[in-house]
Amino acid sequence: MQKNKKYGALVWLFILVACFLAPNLLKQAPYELHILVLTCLFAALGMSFNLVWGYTGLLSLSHTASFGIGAYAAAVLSTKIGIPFWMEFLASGIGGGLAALLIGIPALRMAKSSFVMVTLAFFLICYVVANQWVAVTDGPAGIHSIPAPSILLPVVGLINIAGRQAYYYSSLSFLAFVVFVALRITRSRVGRVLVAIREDEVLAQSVGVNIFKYKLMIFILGSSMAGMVGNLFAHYIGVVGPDIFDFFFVVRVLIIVIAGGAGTIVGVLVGAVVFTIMPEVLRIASELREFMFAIVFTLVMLYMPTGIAGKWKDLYIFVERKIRHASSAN
Amino acid sequence: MPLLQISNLSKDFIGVKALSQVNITVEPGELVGLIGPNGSGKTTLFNCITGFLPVSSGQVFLDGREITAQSTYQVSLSGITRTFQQIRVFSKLSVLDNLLLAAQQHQGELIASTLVNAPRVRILEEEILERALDILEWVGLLHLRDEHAMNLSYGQQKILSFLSALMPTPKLILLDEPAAAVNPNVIKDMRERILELNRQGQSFIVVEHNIEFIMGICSRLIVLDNGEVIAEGSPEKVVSDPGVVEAYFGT
Repeated sequence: MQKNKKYGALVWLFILVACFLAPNLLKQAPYELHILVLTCLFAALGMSFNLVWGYTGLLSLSHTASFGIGAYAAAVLSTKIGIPFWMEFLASGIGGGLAALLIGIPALRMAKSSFVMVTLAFFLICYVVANQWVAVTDGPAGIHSIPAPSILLPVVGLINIAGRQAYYYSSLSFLAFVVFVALRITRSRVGRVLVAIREDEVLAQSVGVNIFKYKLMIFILGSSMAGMVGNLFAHYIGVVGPDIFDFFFVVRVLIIVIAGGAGTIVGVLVGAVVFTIMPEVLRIASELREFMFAIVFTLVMLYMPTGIAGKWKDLYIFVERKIRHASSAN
Repeated sequence: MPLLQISNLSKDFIGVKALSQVNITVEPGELVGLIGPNGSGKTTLFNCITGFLPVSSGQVFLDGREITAQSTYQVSLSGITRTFQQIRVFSKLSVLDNLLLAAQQHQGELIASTLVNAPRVRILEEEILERALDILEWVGLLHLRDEHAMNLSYGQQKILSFLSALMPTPKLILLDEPAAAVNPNVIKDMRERILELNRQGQSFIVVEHNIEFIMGICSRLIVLDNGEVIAEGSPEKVVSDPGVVEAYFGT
């Protein structure tokens, strides 16, 4: 057991170093680095959704609406008003969280299915607003040439986040922050309460949990993190249009969390890596790409209903029992 | 001052009077049995006390403080916990986590203090853990602490839900059929636990169909029929009451 732990720590260290060195290794491969940046951003988005849905059981379809609101906040504030990056980054977070507050206060008191419908409606409204409110969003054309952010760091001074490598490190650090928050929450009393709400709301209330307060808190926290991811995404891609409220993002995030392992931290990271990189690898299959993606996803769901992480855990327990059995037989 | 005072409590469902003008008082340290035929309103009364159902009229006081309009979690934090007729445990959580969750009144934490891992939170956490382990040892289930609740036998789950109700050291515990559908050993065990806690001053209201069980532990019985209290008093007096006999067996 002790040996296993040491082994695990080594693996984590290796992954960390690999993450850190990746841009240097991929200097000649800007496209691959681009995929890594997207992986980090999708992992952070998936992680924030995992807190809301995987742990608490709130199927919030407005999660990527918060992501889009964050992206639009970045676009509008940096191109039309021009405030410092950190203020605009916070504004994206607040924007995403505010959406959750507005939806959450009425919808979190309703039945779970109604909550899903309300969040879906909000998501669809966002698309319409992005298209129609031309004065702010520039309508269907979207907002172009969003400038690269520059951050004033102590000691280092003003640095400009331009180029893939800089984006990679900033999205990787944001991912690290999101993982830290997720770990702290899920391994605490709060995390236990969230799982209790997911498992049995009636019993949770009966033991004294103010379920509305907790649901609202995690919904706002998750959504504001989604808003921040949206901010980074907007700066990285440089263009934000109504397409940001496309179902593509909802489906992508759902797949990452479900196939990776809802309610686990590692699972979502694995899910983000697999399901962001795989579509790119599948490009070699050209027209068959979507088809193959669907097949892989179906197979994962068929043989790993609790996600990749869930399967991994089962396997681990299985092997451990076998070993224990074998050693006790001797 | 009575621990629990229910005055003129009524509950109407559309067209049906589930409870009408119910008056009940429970003194501190009392072990009161609540009996009555099926559909007489026992569980409805529990649901009204604990805020699962809004009352139609009447008031509920705990320690002289009105709790009538409080929501379920507030009633629980005020000091009334309960078990359910249909077992309710967090089946995918471990036995230990079930108990730790049941100690919500010790909380006061927010996401912010969780993020910085405040020492205050950690100290509380340790105290709660200690109590949970003590309680598990007391019933001899300590070896199951890391087992998922769904892997427990029915009787063990019933005991676990009883322990969850006990966990926050409430003023009053409402037990809904603690002896139903479990084997005689568990019934005997449950009975001893309840009596032991009662000797230490814990107050209970117990709903139970097992008359033998309830006669053996309660000092006072209250009989409900059609949402009304039809008899009240010592077990011997109540079971020989002609009204009660009629309610159970008809004429």
